[in-house]
Amino acid sequence: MSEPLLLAESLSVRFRRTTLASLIGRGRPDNVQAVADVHLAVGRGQSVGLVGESGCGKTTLGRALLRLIEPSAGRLMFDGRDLITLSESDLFAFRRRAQMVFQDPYGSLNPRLTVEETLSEVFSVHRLCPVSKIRERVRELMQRVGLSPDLSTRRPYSLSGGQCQRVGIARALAVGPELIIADEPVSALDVSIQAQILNLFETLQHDMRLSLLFISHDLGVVRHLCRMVAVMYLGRIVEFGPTEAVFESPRHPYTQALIAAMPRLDVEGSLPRRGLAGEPPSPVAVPPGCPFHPRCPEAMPVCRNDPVPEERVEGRVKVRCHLYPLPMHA
Amino acid sequence: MTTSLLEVRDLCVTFDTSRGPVRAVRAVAFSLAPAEVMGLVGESGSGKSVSCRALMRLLPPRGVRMSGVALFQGRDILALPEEELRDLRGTELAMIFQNPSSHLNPVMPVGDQIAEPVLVHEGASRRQARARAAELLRQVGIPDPDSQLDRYPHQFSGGMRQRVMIAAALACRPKLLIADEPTTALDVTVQAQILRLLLELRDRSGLAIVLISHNLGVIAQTCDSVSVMYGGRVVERGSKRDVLSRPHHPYTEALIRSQPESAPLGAPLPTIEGQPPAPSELPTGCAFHPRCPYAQPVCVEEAPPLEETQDGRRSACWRWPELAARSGVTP
Repeated sequence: MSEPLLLAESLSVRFRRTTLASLIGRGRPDNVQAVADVHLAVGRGQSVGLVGESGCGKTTLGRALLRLIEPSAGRLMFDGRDLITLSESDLFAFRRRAQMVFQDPYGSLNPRLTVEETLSEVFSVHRLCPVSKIRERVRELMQRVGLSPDLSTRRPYSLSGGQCQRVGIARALAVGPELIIADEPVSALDVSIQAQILNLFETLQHDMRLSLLFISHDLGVVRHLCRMVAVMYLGRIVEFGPTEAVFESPRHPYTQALIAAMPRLDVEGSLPRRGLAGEPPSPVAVPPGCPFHPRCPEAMPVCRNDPVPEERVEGRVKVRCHLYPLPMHA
Repeated sequence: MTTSLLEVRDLCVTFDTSRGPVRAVRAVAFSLAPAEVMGLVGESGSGKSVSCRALMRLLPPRGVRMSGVALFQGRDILALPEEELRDLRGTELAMIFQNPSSHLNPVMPVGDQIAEPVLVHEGASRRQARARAAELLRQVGIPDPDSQLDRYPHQFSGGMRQRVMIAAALACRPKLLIADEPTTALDVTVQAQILRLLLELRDRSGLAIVLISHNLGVIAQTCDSVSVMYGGRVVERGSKRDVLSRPHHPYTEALIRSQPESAPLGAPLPTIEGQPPAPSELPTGCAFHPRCPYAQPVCVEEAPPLEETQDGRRSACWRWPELAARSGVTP
């Protein structure tokens, strides 16, 4: 197998959270481990979904992978090069190869710029083409994402959510990237618009051989769009594998609960009788041992005390759970 | 029908804006039996939240014109004098919202907020009201309720705050609960908990629920009947099974098809072109016609009535017989 385009090994992100007590010199600031020891690979032309509940660290991970947030520890490789040690100018060049699409279609655009200005800016900042060609390139780009050319003089407030999200996607595509990280790009959109944007991602991914990391809390969307899926809980990736394998036989108890809780369009269906109790704890107070153990229906004594084991390959899926011990421990 | 708990007929809501009147809700009609859970589906601007706020008479009195009839146990909510309305609203009618943080008082302990309606409407003593608040917290699944009464909303997680709001809404044992996207801001595992809780309350006390949601999966799992709204009107209504498996309206059909789980993996999703219309710029005739694959000249001219199709179902489409003739949604 060829080496993945993006590879994260033991990646961690810690935030210091200043507390009132620490400000007046009583006690230390909290350390929030937002991303802990994450291994993740995105292959060339591959679509990987990253799912998890709010506060699990999926957005932080997405940003850390592009160094929009600085990782605290671990290795991060893009096309065989170390991203962590890149200089400012190399990082700027890297931005031509990897881009991000954000959740809030309005908030992620400059409200004072027209569509054309927003998109032209990318071409001039990255000096992608002669100034005389920019206009033409912007038109091509708008066409590619399904925006009619007469929208080019509009500002975000006079566009719909779906149109704004298309502008956000066009802006990411302008540099001709190899990788796009899309953070909940359809969650803010109406149901009938979601399908349009998902199809756009699918077409772009196919036509431009894009690699895509698609962050979402919506398992149905990820199942439709992504070949691989990573499930995150409290900063850790607990399960990673081909989408159909994960959905057909989820290994980790958290993945099982997540899939069971997925609202299904089954007219004979009803709510699952029993589901996961409790809510994800705050990342400020991660439970010891396996962080999932207080909610886990299959928790054993070992889960309360021992840290999460290294990932174990079960069939085609990698899972980190004491139910699947490493062979040498077995 | 005499068995219905709520009967809404011809509900219209018009906002007077600086750019002229905006008809947000146009002749909405539905009925609800005791202990029935009805899903109200629609996209933004379809009028689902405005209809429900109109039913609770929560819309501001100025700049809003309402007409129609909303019979709740035989009394017309829309015509009630303010005083009787306040009585009804605290006791038999209740509403919960998507964002509990903005509907709970941040500087009042949750116990007092839950006890307040009991004090006001049932004339209970403070001690009785407090005991009732603890009992309600226990009912909505908050562990160790007695010690939670004096805590403030910010000390609860999102799911727990939603439970607190439900407890406050249920304080005077309402017969009807309007739930406006109650789980949209919650995680899936917590969403399932809250929906389970609502259904338990229905089973236990015969509570009828109007559940507003844009999520067809949530509707499919929890509701008995469904009303689909588009452009300020109910365009289809019927039992959940009928509507979701054999829709009689092109919009419902398109909505179901565009769900990621309806389409075969890897295949492009069937989409609804364009976007939902703003209430201020509604198309002529049937509001869905610019996006409708079945549109004919008549659809541009004249809006179809919401008429009975089969088995007590209703659809507002000129071409419903063709849709009904087919066996189901085929991707």
